[in-house]
Amino acid sequence: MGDSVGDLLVLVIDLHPVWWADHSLTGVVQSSLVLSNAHLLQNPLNKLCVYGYMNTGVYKLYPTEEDLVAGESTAGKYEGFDVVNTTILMRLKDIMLECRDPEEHKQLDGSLLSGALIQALCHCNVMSKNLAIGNILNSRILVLKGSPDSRSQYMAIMNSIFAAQKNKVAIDSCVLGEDSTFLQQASEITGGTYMRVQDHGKLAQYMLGVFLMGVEFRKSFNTPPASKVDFRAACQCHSKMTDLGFVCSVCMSVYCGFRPICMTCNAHFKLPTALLKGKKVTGKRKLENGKS
Amino acid sequence: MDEEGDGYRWEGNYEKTWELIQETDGGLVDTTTTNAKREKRRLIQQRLSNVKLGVMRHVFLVLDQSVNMEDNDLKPSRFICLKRLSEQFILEFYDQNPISQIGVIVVKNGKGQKISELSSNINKHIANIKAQKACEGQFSLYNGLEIAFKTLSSMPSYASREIVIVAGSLTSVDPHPINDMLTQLAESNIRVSVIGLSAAVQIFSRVSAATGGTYNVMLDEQHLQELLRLQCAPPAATPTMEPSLVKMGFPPHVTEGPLSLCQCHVDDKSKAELTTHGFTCPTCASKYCEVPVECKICSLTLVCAPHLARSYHHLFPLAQFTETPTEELIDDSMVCGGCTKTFGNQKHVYRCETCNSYFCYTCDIFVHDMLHHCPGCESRPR
Ligand SMILES: [Zn+2]
Ligand SMILES: [Zn+2]
Ligand SMILES: [Zn+2]
Ligand SMILES: [Zn+2]
Ligand SMILES: [Zn+2]
Repeated sequence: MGDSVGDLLVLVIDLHPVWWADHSLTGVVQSSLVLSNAHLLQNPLNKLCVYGYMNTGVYKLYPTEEDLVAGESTAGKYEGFDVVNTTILMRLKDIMLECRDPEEHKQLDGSLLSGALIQALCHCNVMSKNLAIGNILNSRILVLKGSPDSRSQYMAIMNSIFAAQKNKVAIDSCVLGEDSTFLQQASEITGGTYMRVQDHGKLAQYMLGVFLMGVEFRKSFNTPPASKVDFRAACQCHSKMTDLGFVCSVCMSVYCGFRPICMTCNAHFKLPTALLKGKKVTGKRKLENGKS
Repeated sequence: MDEEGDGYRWEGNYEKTWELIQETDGGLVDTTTTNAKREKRRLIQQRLSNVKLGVMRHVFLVLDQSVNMEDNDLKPSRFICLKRLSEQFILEFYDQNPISQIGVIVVKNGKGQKISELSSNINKHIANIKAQKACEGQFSLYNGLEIAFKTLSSMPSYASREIVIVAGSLTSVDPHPINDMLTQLAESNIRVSVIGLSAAVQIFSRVSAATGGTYNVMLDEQHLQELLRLQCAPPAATPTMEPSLVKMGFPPHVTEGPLSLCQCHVDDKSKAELTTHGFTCPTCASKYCEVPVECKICSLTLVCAPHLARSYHHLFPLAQFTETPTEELIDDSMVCGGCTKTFGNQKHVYRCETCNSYFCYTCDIFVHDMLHHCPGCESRPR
């Protein structure tokens, strides 16, 4: 074990303008600032990084390049809070001013969670590479998400989750809107905590109560129980969740029934292997399974 | 870098390792030998681009356990070192090929012995390898291959069939001419790759050439580790591999069910426990602690959606970024598209051809080795 170098907390905040049109962003931003300050207060060596993301792009709110050059020595000191808060708020204002036309946003696909996760992981990676040999930086990412998942990001998000797992970066999720299967899987696989907060007024309490703690400390407390994660696959043909499927041996596409040609890779299939194998798989058993 | 032409450490060129040292933004010194890594990755990708892959694999790991493995050019001895590296190999292999299967064979006293049946049970493989102790007698290429052949030839044809041999011996005691075996292997589309520990042996290179595998001789422990890691990436599909729709179960994860025994520990009295959580087979409702696994009752392969997703980066690799000298950047204030830091005094930057974002050296490596998606492309509105 090397010297303690503090923890790195990366906050990733969903700023999807259409979703926030119906919800109050102010409370979420204030709670995030409370959490950021509390995190920096815990240990003068603690590090912070904040990203905002929406459907038009991913924005680094803190630290910006100037903060890094000028503020390295003041970061974490008490007078540093002011810098943190004003930087984040100013950047947010700039971004918000840029997106005036709601029609334009409705044209676009959902918030770019995949891009935000990927950039956050790049940041964690660079931070850990800049340490002296033997020192380990504990990094975690907290995603504050409002808008719904968008299916087109599935592959990028899964690959980021695996990258986070390999680099021992936990992904915490605080979901403000409907449940997110992406983040449920992310938290489950990387060992983070997934939580859905319906009362946005209590957000700051949840943040301080659950997400301020490092992942390893949470084991000793009664943090919210792991949510049920749906690890079933969605079929290519109907986008329906299925618990019994056929997988293309070439491209791993999942189908809910047998089909002669793969939709993704155009492979031509023979009879299902279950039939060729000749083992005791019969249609009869399906009867027992009334769940689907 | 051609592996065969590499030669031994002492034959190689004088390496100026200090020239690889780079100053990073933090002012710290980063002793990267990753330049070579980047180059290697480029070569692998070149080989694999636009090639169909066999991502479902059945692989036999054949380990030499003859007296030749007692040499201590690897520390503390060849075999002990190999046991440790095989463990890493198995973990890495399942990480990248979660729905594939491995089996382990050791060869000692001129005989092959299957110590771990073809399965996806990681812990069992590792325990079985760990349990191997003394190195005895001679190595036999033929006998090792024969055992693997018998099992692999009956495996379904949509999956890739492979044998990976790690041999420290320079000789082989074979009961029959190896050519017969080679024909059989080639006919059944079994790919044999060999990793040698001491010197190049003609018969090994012939076996791998005849079956479409690779043959490499390690230089040192690190190189051996690297060679094993290369075997983790799925190989190109052979033309005879028939695409197939494989029936699989995606079992729901039960966290608070009734107390019940799981199928995976039921044979082992000491570990069999009543638990409330597990994965239940969608056809026969038997319970397992871990997936992927083949259901013991109805022989359905049980997996989770994330397992399938782990193969995606092999199937849809990220294109290489173009190396550009930093001076050629027009805008001085330009930042890295991954870590958003300025490029400072780095000599080169890396550009994504799709979104034209530039990346620093650290991010280029990280993006290609870990993320497999370009931060720039993923952050663009769609
Ligand atoms: Zn379907
Ligand atoms: Zn396909
Ligand atoms: Zn079953
Ligand atoms: Zn970078
Ligand atoms: Zn790009």
